[in-house]
Amino acid sequence: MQQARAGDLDAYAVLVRRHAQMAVRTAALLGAGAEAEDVVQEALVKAYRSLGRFRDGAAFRPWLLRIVANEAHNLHRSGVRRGARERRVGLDPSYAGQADPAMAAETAELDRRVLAAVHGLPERLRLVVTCRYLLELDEAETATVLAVPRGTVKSRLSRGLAALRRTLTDEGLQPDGAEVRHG
Amino acid sequence: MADLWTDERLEEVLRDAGRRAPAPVPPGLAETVLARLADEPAPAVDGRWAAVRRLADRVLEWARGRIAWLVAVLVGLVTAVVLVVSPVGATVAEWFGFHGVEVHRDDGPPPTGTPTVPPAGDDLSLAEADALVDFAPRVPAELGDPDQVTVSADRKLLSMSWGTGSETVRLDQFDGEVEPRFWKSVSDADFVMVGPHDGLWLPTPHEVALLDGDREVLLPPRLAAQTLLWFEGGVTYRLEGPFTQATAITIAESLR
Repeated sequence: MQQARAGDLDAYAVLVRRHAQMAVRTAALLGAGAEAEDVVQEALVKAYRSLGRFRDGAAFRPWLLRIVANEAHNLHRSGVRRGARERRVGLDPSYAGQADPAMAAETAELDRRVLAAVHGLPERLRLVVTCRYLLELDEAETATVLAVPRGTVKSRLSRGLAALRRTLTDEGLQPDGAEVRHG
Repeated sequence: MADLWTDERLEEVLRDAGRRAPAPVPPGLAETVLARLADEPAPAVDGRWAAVRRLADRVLEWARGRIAWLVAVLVGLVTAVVLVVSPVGATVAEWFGFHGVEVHRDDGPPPTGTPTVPPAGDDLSLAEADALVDFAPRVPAELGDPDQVTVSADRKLLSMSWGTGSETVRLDQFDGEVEPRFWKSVSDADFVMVGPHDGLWLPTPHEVALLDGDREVLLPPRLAAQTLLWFEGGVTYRLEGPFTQATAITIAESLR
């Protein structure tokens, strides 16, 4: 970290490689979809330029992911890349199944429905649920990444889970992935 | 059938879906980033940012030295940027921003009259209020459970109070990142520390109004008693009551 801050690009490359996977996941799941690569690249360049602002002793990962989250957010707002919204993970039926062609069809379907439900949440709840559960950050990291107080993270999480439960139940989806048969 | 989705099962399904979502690291990512940075100077560790911090620190020192109450001390980004683009004397001296609270200096004669501290109004239990707001409300151990608790109609401001009449103590708390905003016009104020946090002590009666994000008045101005303001963990606190500065700080530091 110290070396990277002193302008040692090799040291920064080590940081980049260590955190690249999480950065890409964050960008993709926060909604950058197919633009995740651009978002992460931009975020990593900005992060390097901002290293001087990084507080000694703070955790690098949430700090970096916050920049990634901001970039993903900016992407949504820019009209230049219209269409990125439609390519968001949860909205593209083919996306969730891509990882492993051998994945059981029901599993892929469950994932697709769950991700679609997350993306149907109001923005504030969607971001918190995505960070805490899809990305498996802890509450403190989630608070840092989204720049909200920790108490806010807690309350949005419980509201987000409640909303998801309602949506999934209304859709007749059971926790084992089976459908409730109507009529 | 309706409640088969327990929190545990829901969390598990979310985690699994997150893990299975494809997010391949693009080949050559690190190299591409490094290539873009190859011609960059080293990160500006001791550049503008550090200079801003030092400037803010100097202003703070100067302000404390002169007991100049009206100087903004926030070392936060927004204020720090303001410091850079404006002559220190002008902007900073006129304005004090405190995460949802604006304090303005009023050089006119101090307001006359006896301030009254309105009780919160007892429409909610603490647990009910907790469920309504976006942050975790805290209670000062020094005062114990509040007698009255309420939450504003927009659910952004939580107020609690202890006692009645001239003995009333009131604590307002709200997410410092959102409106509403208290607007205060004061003739005297001191910088204090609440634990490790910066605070502002307003020792004399002053006007306070509550505005929403569009600066519309939500509550008309009233004459407020001694007040301690501080910002902690993303939440802005405003403690008002018939106490000394030392007592107010003791109460503030006992938040649980």
